[in-house]
Amino acid sequence: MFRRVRQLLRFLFRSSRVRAELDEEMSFHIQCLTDDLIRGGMEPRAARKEAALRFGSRERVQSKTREVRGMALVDETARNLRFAVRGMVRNPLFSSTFVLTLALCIGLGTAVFSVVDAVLWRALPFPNPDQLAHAALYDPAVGKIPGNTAVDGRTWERIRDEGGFVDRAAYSRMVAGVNLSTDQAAAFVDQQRVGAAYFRTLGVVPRLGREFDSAEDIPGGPPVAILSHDLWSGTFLRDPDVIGQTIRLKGEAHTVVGVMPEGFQSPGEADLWTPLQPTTGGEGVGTNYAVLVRVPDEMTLEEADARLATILPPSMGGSEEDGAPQRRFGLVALDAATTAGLRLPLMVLLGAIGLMLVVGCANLAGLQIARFLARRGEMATRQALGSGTGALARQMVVENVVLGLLGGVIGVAICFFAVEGLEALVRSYFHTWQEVRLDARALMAALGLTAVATTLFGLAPILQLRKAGVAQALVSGTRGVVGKEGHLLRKFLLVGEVTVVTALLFAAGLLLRSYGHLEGLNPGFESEGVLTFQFSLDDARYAESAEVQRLFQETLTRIRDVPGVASASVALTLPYERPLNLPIRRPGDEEGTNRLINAVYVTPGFFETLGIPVLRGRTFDEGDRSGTPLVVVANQSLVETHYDGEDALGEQIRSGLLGEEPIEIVGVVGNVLHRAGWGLTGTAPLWETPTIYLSSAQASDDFLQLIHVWFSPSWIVRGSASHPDLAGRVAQAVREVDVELPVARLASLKEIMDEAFARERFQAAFLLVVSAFALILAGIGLYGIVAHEVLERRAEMGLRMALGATPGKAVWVTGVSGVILTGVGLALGGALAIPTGRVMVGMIYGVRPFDPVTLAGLAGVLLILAVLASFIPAAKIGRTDPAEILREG
Amino acid sequence: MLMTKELLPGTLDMLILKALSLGPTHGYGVLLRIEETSKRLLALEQGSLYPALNRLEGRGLIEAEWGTSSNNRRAKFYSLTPAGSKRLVGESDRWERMVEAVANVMGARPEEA
Repeated sequence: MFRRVRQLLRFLFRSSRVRAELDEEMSFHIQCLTDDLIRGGMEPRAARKEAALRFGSRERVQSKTREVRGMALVDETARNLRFAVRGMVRNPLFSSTFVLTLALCIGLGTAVFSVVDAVLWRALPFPNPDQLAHAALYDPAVGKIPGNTAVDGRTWERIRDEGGFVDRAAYSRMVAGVNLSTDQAAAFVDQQRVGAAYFRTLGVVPRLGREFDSAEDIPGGPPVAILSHDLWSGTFLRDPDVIGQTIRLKGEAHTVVGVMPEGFQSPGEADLWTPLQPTTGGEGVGTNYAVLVRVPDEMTLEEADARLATILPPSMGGSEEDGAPQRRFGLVALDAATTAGLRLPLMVLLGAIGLMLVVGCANLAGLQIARFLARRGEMATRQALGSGTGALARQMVVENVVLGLLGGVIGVAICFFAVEGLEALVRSYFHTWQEVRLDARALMAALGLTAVATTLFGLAPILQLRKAGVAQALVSGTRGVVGKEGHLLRKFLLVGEVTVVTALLFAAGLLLRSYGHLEGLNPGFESEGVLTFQFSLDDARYAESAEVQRLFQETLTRIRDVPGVASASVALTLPYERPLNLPIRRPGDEEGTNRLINAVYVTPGFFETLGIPVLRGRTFDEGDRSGTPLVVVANQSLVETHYDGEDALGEQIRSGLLGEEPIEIVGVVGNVLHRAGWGLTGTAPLWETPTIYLSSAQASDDFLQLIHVWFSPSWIVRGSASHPDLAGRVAQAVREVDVELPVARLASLKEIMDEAFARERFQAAFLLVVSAFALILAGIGLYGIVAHEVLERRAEMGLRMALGATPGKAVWVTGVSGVILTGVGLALGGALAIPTGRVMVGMIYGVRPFDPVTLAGLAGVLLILAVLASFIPAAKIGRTDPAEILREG
Repeated sequence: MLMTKELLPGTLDMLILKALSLGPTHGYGVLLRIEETSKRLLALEQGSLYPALNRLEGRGLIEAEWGTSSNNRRAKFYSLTPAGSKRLVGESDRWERMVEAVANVMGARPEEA
C-alpha cells in the first residue's frame, strides 16, 4: 500500500525524472534493436535508421506515457482553469449575474430555512419534548382549544387536583420587568412567575439549590426566587454561596433558592423566576395561567387528552343544566402551543424564499443555455479542429465548477451573516426565543440543489452537441437543431419564472398594502414630540394606592417644572400598546355576562397631554380621588359597541375587578388605537378597542397591586420646545423623588408606534426584497432571450426591411415576443394569486385577499419590465442597415 | 501478421503480464518474448510498449528496477508483482472463455442454430 502511494506520488510530481528515465529506456530499446538488425546482416548506418523508423516517434511515446500517468488530466485541468478564469473576466455580466444568483440563493435560502427550522421544527430544548403539552379547555364556540391556551384559577385547580396521571404545573406566560436591588446597584430585570414543579415538569434540574415547592406556591407564600444562569454569573459574579442569600426584588426581601443551569432557555427569556402563587380570585378570575403538562413516557398525548376529557371542568354560569355545548379539557402539544401565531408568517417567509430559489435556479439554467448557444460556434470549430467531445465536456465542467465554487463560497459567507441578522430580526419581531444555528443540512441541500441546476443545464448542451454532430452545428450556424431546442427550453423557463414572480409580487403587494393600511390608520392622538418612560411599580414600597399617588404627583410636579416641558401625565398603558382587559356589566345584564373591554388608569391631564379630543362630558380633575364616587371616561368605540352609539353620559357600569361598586361614565373621548391581544382580538393588530379610562387616584390597593404585576405604568411628557437633554432632565426630576426606581424603558411615542407595526413592516419588507430580486432575475432572463432572438432573426428582419417593412415594424415584431412571454407568465401567475391570497388571509388587514389594486399594480410593474427588457435589445435591429445584413447573409 | 492496433483492447496488457511471468526482463526483452512466443504472428509497434508498461506499473501489477543487461548496459528490468500474477490468472481465464465462445460461434454449422 505504502509503495503504491509512493509510486503514485512519484508519477505525479517527479515528472522530469520520469521523462529522463523513459528516454534512457527508449534509447536502450533502439540500441538493442539496432544491434539485432546488424547481427541479422544489416549495415550499421542503415540498421540505426531502420530501428529508429520501427520504433516510431519518441515524443509520441513520451506524451502517451504521460497521459497514461494521469499527468495529461492535470495539465488539461490547469489549462481549463485558465480558460475558465479568462472566460469569466471576458464576460463579467454573465459571470457576476451567475455567481450572485447562486450566492444569494444558497445564502438566503439556507439562512431562512435555518431560522424557520429552529423556531418551528427543531425539538424544544427539553428532555422528551414530545411528551410536553399545555392543558386547556376547548372553546365550544370554535370547537378547539383557543390559541393562547390559558386557563383561569379554578380550571387550574381542577387539573391540579384531578390530573394525577400526568406531571403538571401552572405558570404565567407574562414576563414583566421588575426592580432588583443588590448592595451595589439597582437593575431592571425580567421576571416570570412559575408554579411548583414547573422546572421538574420541563425536565430541567436547577444547577444550584432547588425549585419552588408547593408550600411556596400558595397565595401569601414566602418570597423566594430562582436566578437564571446569566443573572447569576453577571450580577452575582457566580457566587457559589448565593443559595439562601437575600435579594431585594420589587422592594421586598426575597430568598434565593436556586440557580438554573447554563443554556437553559424557556419561552419568555426571563432573568429570574418567582413562585406563581395562583389564586381563584383577582388574577385567577381571568384566564391568566398556562398549564404545562408532561405526559408519562408510556402514555401518548392522545391517551392523556382522552383521560383529561373525563375531568369535569368548573361550571360556567349554569351551562351544564342548559345542555349547552360542554367545555372539556384537552391538550395542545407544547411546541404547537408556543408557536401558534408564528407558523403562518414564518411559513410565508420560507415559501417566498423557496420560490425565489426556484426562480434563481431557472435563471441559472437559462444563463447556462444562453452561454452555450453563444459559444456553440466556437465549440463546433474546436471539435472540427480535433478537440474530443470529452475534452470539451471537461472544459465545461471546469468552468461550471469554478463559477459554482465562487458562488458557493460567497453564498456560505452570506449565509453566516444572514443567519445572524435574521435571528435578531425574528427575535425582535416575532418574539422567538429559540437559538438559531446555521443548519448544515439546509446548507448542503441548497448547495446540492444549485449544483444540480447548474451542472444539469451546463452539461446538457454538450450531450446535444455530441448528438447533433460537428458538421451540422458548423453548417447550421445559429439556426441549428440545438439552438431551437435550447431556445425553446429557455422560453419555458422564463414563463415559469414570470409565473412564480407574479405570485411572489402579489404576496409582497398584499403585505405592503396591508402595512400601508395600518400606517394610514388615524392614531387618534398627537404623537409628535412626546417622550415616555416606564417604572415598574410591582414593588412593596408602592403596594398602597396613596404611595402610588404621591409618586405620580411629586414626579409630575417636578417634570412640569423642567424647562421645555409643556405637559406631563401618567397612564397604565400607552396607545399602540395592549391595555388591561376588564370584564364589565351594565345594570340589567344577566348574571355571568361579561362585556370585555380595555381599561387604562390615567392621571388628570392625560387627554390634554396626548391631544385626545373630549367629545362629551368632562375628563378627570383633582376632585376625582379616593373616597369620592367612582367615575370613568369612556371612548367612542365603547359607546358604539355597548350603548348602540347613544348618549352614555351618566350611565353606570360595574366590574368585579373594581370592587363591584357602581361607576358612572362622566365623559366620552375620541378613540385611540390599541394593540389587540388576549381576550380582545380584533380584525387587525391595532384597532379602536372599546376602552374606559379610570382615575388612578380612585384605584384601590388590591387593583393596583394586581395590575402592576402585569404592567409598568408609563410617564408621558410632551415637550414644547426641542430641548437637547429633555430626557436626562426629566429622569433627574424623577430620581429626586425616588432614587431606587430604575428607568425601565425610555422611548419617544413615535418609537413605540413604530414598534407596534414592526412585524408587519418586516414581513412586507422581506417579501418585497425577495420578490424584487426574483423580478430582476426574470428581467435578466427575458433580456437574454430577446437579445438572442435579435441575433437569430437579423437576416429575416433585414430581408423584411429590404422588402419595405419599416424599422419600427421590425423592432416591434422582435420585441413583442418577449412581452407576450411575460404576458403568458403573468396570466398563469394571476391564477396563482387566488391561492396565494387565501394563504395570507391571516396576515393582511384592510385589504381583500384577492386585491385587484395589488394585481393591477404588479401587472403594471411586470409589463413595464417586460417592455424594457424586450425593446432595449430589440431596438438594435432598427438601427442596422438592411443592406449590410443582406450582404452578410 | 497482426499489428498492435488489431489487438482487442486490453490484450496488450495481458500479453505483457504473460511475458513477464516467464521472468524479469527489460522492455525490449518483453517485445522479443511476445514476438517469439507468438511464433512471429504478432508484430508489436515498438513504441506502444512503453505507455502500457507504465500503465501496468502505475496500477502496481509490475514493478521496475534498474539493472545491467546481458550486453552490459544499464536497462530497466520489469518483474511481476503478486497482484500482477493474480491478474494474469484472471485474464487468462477470461481470455480462454472468450476464445472458446468465439470459436464455438464461428464453428457453428447450420443445423446447430
